[in-house]
Amino acid sequence: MKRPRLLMLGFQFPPGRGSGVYRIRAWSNHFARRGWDVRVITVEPSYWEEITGSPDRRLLETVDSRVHLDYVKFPHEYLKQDHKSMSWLHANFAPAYLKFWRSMPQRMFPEVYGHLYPLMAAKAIAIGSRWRPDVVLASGNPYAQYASAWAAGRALRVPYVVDYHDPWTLDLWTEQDAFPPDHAAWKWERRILDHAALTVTVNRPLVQWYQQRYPEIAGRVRLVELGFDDTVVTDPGFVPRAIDEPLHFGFVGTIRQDLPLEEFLDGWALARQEPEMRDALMTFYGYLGFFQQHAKSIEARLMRSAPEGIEYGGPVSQTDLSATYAELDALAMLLTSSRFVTAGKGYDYMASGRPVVGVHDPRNHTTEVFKPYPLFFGAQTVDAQGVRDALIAAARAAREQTKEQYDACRAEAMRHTWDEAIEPVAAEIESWRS
Amino acid sequence: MSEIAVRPSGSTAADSPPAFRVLAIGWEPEQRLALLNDLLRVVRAGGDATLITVDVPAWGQIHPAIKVIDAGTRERTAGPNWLVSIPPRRWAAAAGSVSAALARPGVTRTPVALTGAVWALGARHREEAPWFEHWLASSTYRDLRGWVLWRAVRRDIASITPATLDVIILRDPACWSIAWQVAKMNPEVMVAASVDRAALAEFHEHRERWLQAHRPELSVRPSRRLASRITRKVGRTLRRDGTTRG
Repeated sequence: MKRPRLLMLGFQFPPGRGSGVYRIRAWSNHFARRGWDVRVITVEPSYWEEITGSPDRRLLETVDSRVHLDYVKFPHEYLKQDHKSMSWLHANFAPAYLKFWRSMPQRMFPEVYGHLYPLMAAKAIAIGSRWRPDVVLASGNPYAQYASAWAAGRALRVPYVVDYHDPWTLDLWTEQDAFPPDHAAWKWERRILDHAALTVTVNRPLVQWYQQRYPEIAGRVRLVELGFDDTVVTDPGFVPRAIDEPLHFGFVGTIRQDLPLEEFLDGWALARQEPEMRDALMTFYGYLGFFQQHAKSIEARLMRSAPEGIEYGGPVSQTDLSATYAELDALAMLLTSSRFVTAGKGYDYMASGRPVVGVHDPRNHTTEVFKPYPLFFGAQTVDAQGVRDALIAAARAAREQTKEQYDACRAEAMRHTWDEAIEPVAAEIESWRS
Repeated sequence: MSEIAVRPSGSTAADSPPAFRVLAIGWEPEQRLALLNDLLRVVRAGGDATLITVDVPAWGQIHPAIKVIDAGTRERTAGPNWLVSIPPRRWAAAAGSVSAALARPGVTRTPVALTGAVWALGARHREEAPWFEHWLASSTYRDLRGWVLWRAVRRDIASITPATLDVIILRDPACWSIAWQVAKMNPEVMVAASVDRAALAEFHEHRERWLQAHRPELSVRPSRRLASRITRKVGRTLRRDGTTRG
């Protein structure tokens, strides 16, 4: 019997970096382990080098060797912000050049990456017409690749699944519609969802939002929570800190512009005046923003408190996460605040088995996820006082943490591996063949 | 006559003070304040500031230490503007000489007439060209203006020694053209929307330290004539006070 075949559309795939990369890799690895032949169509690695300036090559090694990668050429000159690497045309006629590239992709699909739609659809159809996949699965942004999945599904006459990491037509921060009622995005989203065999998303509030917004597809909306890869983020081990040694806190993840950095740094300064936090150190690990041009301003914001025990530790590949966690006593999880947001890094933090300080609005869905986690200390309010209280509580917990508590934390984390999260939906997709 | 000799106190007599060279590019009215503020900061910190812009009088009083390159002076004849700014009268004259040349038989006069036509178009002209003003105000020209202004200032760029520039500041994609060309001459230059204040403060501190270390010792050897003049003046003052008499 022919092995089942999955054709994935995943723009954000290693060696790219960003939260979406891990989920798409998890889908491909999971299906490969289930015995499927998996091909992933993704963007050429040069895109990550030129736009983010820092591809994570070691992340590519964590992709199952049975997964086959196909690259799509994606014109991205117009996204370049570094003058020195711009083309002559882009630099010398920038207003006209940018005007063209702002409008042209939108004519194909209502998104700044709109021209990805025909490119990826053509690639998927070209591969699919020879390779004959059983299912097409599009995961993550840009949203144009969902349109590619729709086109490929129709052309190849195979079911397609769309996996929304972030909703397209819902503004996560205002919790309102992201587009006016007559915008083309609505038409496209309806078209994509109406024909999709399954619509998958990342948390319960978003599942409910899709079901309410599109009642006719309510029965085809599925939840696949975020998770962590237990083969990559392994057990960091538990070594209690000596009583006279200062505590070491850490943040591990992309240090985005919209994180509540100022609130955290103010709270940190207050907390550090307490005896539990004497001489405590806080290290921020991760890339400074997604794009090169933001790095300097983020670093400046971060280092304003450098004398108060704040340091920047640089990026950490996911393959080094366990070793990084092993050096830390507690983790500070800074997140943007929305009830529709679940942080992928939260699951990695759980895997550390350490006390976790939640620096985000308690309405954030991550609070729900962390409810069963024994050592979670969420700030009641995202301000200096709220952060200070949470830090002090986490510091006390870190000082008093026992091996039993550590094991309980790890046990809770192991309920959130990618395989656990994907298994039910993967089994359902598999059942379509029979 | 006094002679003032400068004697550096340190051993690095030949060293020049640390420099911080900034080039700002911008011409849109809404960018003026921000760019000027940045350049003022640079000048006050002891740095070297240059501004490339157009319509200099509209910028008001510019600090004298800021060097200004007015790209507008050659804008009229740069790139495609040269054709657009030719007054209709000259076009008519050129067309007339071409048609006259074509009407006349014989090859000897034709090149001369054609040369005359080209000369009529290419000669320096200061007359009003009605469509030039429309062209300047058009949205098409706004899209091309950055490149045209680069063509206008490219001969002046050498005067600011791009190889020693530290930062280019600009706030409008229309200015990328000049920045891109300068960055090609100096790949190390940083292109930013404003001057990094921390870097500027660091430079200022460094410069102050250098200046203190290299403070010149003044050795004044006044001439005998000047010395006696000073002595007389001081003496007179004292006498007027009535406290001392020479």
